[in-house]
This record gives sequence, structure tokens and C-alpha cells, in this order.
Amino acid sequence: MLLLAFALAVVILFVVLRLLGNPVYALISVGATDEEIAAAAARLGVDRPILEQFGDYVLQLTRLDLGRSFTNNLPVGDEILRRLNVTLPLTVLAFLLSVVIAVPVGFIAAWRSRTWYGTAFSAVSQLGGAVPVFWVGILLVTALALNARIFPAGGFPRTDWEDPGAALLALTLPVLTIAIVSGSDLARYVRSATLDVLGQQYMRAARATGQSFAGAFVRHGIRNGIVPVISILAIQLSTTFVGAVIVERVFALPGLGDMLLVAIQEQDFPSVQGVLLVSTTLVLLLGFVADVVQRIIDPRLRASVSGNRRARAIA
Amino acid sequence: MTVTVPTAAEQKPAARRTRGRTSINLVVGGVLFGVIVAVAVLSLFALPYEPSDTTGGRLQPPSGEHWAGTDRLGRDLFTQLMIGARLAMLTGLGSVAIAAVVGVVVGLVAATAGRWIDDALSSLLDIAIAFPTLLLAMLVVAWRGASLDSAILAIGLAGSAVIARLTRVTASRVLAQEFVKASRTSGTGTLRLIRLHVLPNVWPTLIVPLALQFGGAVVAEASLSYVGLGSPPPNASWGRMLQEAQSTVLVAPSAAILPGLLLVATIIGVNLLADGLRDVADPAGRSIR
Repeated sequence: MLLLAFALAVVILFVVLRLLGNPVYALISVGATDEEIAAAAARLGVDRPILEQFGDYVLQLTRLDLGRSFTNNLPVGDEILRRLNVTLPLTVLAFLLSVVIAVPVGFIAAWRSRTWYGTAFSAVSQLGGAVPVFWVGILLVTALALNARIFPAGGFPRTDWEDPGAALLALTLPVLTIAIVSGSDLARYVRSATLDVLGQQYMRAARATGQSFAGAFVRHGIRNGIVPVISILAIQLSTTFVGAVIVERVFALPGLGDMLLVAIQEQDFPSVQGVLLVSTTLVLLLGFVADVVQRIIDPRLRASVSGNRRARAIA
Repeated sequence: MTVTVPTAAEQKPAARRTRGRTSINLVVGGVLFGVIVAVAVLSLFALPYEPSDTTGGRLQPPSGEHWAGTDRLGRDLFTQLMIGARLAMLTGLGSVAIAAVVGVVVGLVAATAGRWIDDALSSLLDIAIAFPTLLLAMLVVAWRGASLDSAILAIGLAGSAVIARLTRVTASRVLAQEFVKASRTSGTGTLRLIRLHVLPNVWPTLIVPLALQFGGAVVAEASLSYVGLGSPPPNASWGRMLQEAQSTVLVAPSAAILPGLLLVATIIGVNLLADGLRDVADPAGRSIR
């Protein structure tokens, strides 16, 4: 399943990107002769039969080589690794912070759903989930960087992570931006999972045997309620990653998203292909990990060969 | 990726809790969304200024003449906001229409064709659903060039996977029912069967997810426009307006706030409308989205 998905992604990316405009025109000047155009095409390797190009590409991939950028001729893989220095910490920190926000907010919104603050928590999470992530970014920059001058308005230290303090400071607002939006989203799922658990008969039965609410919730509630939340967590981690692509633009961070957008504008096939392939692989892997974790937690899923088949069978 | 479809029994407790809020969701959502739709329709007939009219003076604050101020070329922002509303509605309607048509057709094929095709399509859908909308949209934009059409096409295609899976599930459930078997036994062909029995039963389950996709599509397009992959001003979407306004936010804060507020109003409006519709149409289905 995972391998099939990966193979499909490789083929689709290759085909779609070969349908793009001719990258040769990005390299040559106006009024170039036919010979110059042919030379440029030969240098990029786009004059050869398409199947041959595809075969070469797959061979390259087996060596974990993503090719060289059309625009600066540097290895795409190295560039992606360099960019991940920004994007990965951004994604992971934002994700952790969003979980830290979402779990208590979602739990209280469900547990105290009839009180004013329970209602307020669900209303805020509804609102936060509906706000475009880049707008939150603009508002935060304006308030905390331009007006209050607490944080830098954008950019990333040239020295990368040599000065961890400066790097973290540069990432604070972006992390906060993503965490507000995806935390609100996540809180809604935590809320509905908690509501679901609280209404179950086994909770009442556990209380009837003399267990405290907290004891019953920890022993029975969490184990049941966490299963749907985990599949959401995996999706959430991928959306956080994609959110990072957008948020990097708000804060002028030199991450993967910035690389992708520049590569799209410059029709730099190998770079676009590389970034999308790495992103897709990460997203697919996350889904796979979530499936495995779910099966460890919920023995009912273990019995079947494939979780997907089970979901389809139930429906 | 596994998405467990909850059974009706699992959903009941939460539904009991929220019954009675039905009308509030529907009314608030309807009003918010209705205002945006009205503005979008109005923008087709009357605009306060020509979109490309640059006589307003640069970066003016909101005033009697320019209700929302002007941008850095002196164009009226209220005019642009109205056009933005029209583009947002176009984006939502267009991508929802694409998602509905493609999704229903693929879902029906999977449900009615043989087991082999069904398995292949279902695996494909699992992959498609796992693939993030915005990455797909960027791929399409890279292929077709930055425009509103590309964005709508990409967002619609990305959304169609979820609709296809829902259609497939509901359609196979309907096809297994006695009255469908009876109809088939009496000689009804597959296409006629779909038109008479399957579609009328599938359609209601798709309304709420499609309404939610409307909001998602508007955000996705705004994000694409914000990173420079949308149509340029003065016929700009709210996302592009926000990008333009970011660099001048200290001089002209209203330009960076108003498009965002309208975006949020649209999304909350359509989401509440969807929630309200769900409460009315299917009181048992509220707990898990």
C-alpha cells in the first residue's frame, strides 16, 4: 500500500511536471539561435525520449539522488535537507504546541459543555479553525513584531542553528501562528471525541462500580476516545506541514515552502519534483504510522488484515 | 489512511446534547453567508468605483468617499472587497461543483463496477485523500499557470476524493437494499437504477460535506493567492489583497484587516450553515465530522 502510493506519486509528479512549460526558455535570452536552444535542452537532458528520462529519474531515486536544479545546478537533495533545517523544527514545534493547546481546551469544552466557559472554549475553537493561517500570521507580526517589537518580523539567522536562541526567536511567531489555527481544529476533534466517551454506557457502569470520574475516564475513556483522535493527529501533522509552506511566506523564512514557490515560478522541474516528492513521502509515512499506532491501541483493528477494508466493510 | 465511519449508535449521545441549537446555527450562518452572497451579486451590477480607477490618493484611511480606504496605487478598497466577494463565491461554487460531479461519478463507478475496479479505485482514493489539497493545487498551478481557473480546478479535484468515497459507501449500501434488488429483478438497467434509486438516496448525505468544502475552498484559494499563485489586482481575491496589504500594514491597517474579516465571516457562515443543515437533516450525525 505504502510502496504503491509512493510509486504512484513518482509517476504522477513526473508526468505532470513534464507537461509544464519548456524550462529551456527560462535559461536562454531573447533572440537565441536554434543551436543555442538545442544546446540548452541537451544540457538539461529534456531533448531525450520521455521514457528514457523517466528511467533515469527512477534510477536516480534509488540512489536517493533528486537531480540537480535547472536554475543553479546544485543538487536538489542537499538544498531540501538545508531547507528542512527550518521547516522541520517549525512543523514539529507548531504541532506539539497545538496538541498542548487542543487537549485541555477540547476536553474542557466537552466536560463542561453546559457552562459559559465550556461554550466559550468551543466557540473560540470554532473561530480559530475558520481563520486563514496567513492572516493570523499578519496580525501577529503587526502586533508583536512591528508595534511591540518583541520578536523579529521575519527572516532566519544566516548562521542557521549555530545560535539556537536567535533561531528559536525567529521561529516563535511562525510556530504560534500555526499552533493557533491547527490547535483550534484539533480541539474540535478532541471535544467531539470526549463528548462521545462521556455519553457512553461503560462510563456510567464504571462510575456505578465506585470508580471516581477521573479514574473511570483515565482507565476507560481515554483508551476509547483516543483512537479517532490519533487518525486526526496524523492528518493534522500533514496539514501543519502544509501550513508551514504558507506561513514561511508570511515570515520570509528560507524553508521548503519558499523553495517550492520559487521553483514553481522559475519552472525548475527537479526542485518542484523533489520538494513535492519529499512532502508526499512524509505525508504518506505519517498516515502509515498513525495506522500502526491505532492498531496497537485498539485491539479490534488488529484482527483485520487492512484497516481500510474494515472501514469499508463497516460502512 | 484509515478513517473509521462511525455507526449510528456511536453518534447518538452527542446528538442529544446539541439538539435545540439547530435554529441558531442555521440562522446565524444563513445571515452571514447571505450578506456575502448579496455583496457578490451586487458587485455584478454596481461598484462604487471602477476597479482600475487610481484617482483616490495612495493608502488613504477609510473615509466618506472611500469606505474602506485606498490601496498603494490609489484604487478603492471597498470596490476590491466587493469583487473579492464575487471571486470567493465563484471559487466556492466552482470547486464544489467539480468535486460533486467528479466525486459522484467516480464513487458510482466504484460502487457498481466489479470488485477489481472497486479495490483499485478505493486504494487510489485513499492516496488522494491523504495528499494535501494545497500541494495538489500548487502542482496544478505550476502546470496551467496562476489563475482563478487553475485554483478552482485543483481545489475541486482535491475535494472530489472525499465525495467519491462517501458516494461509494452510501451507494453500495443502497444497492444492497431489498427494493433495489426487486427493481433490478424486474428488469431495470444499471443506469436507470442509479437515477431512480441510488442518486436520490446518495444526494442528501453529500450536502453537508459539500457545504463544508465550500468554506475549505475559499480558504485554499485565499492561501494560493496570498503566496502569489492567484489572479493579480485590481480583480484580486481577498488572499491577494492581504498579500498586497502586508507590506503597508503600519500605514494602512484597514487594508490588512478587512479582507481577513470577510474571509472569516464567509467561512464561519458557511460552516454554521452546514452544521445547521446537518442538525435539520440528520439529527444523529453531529458528533464526528
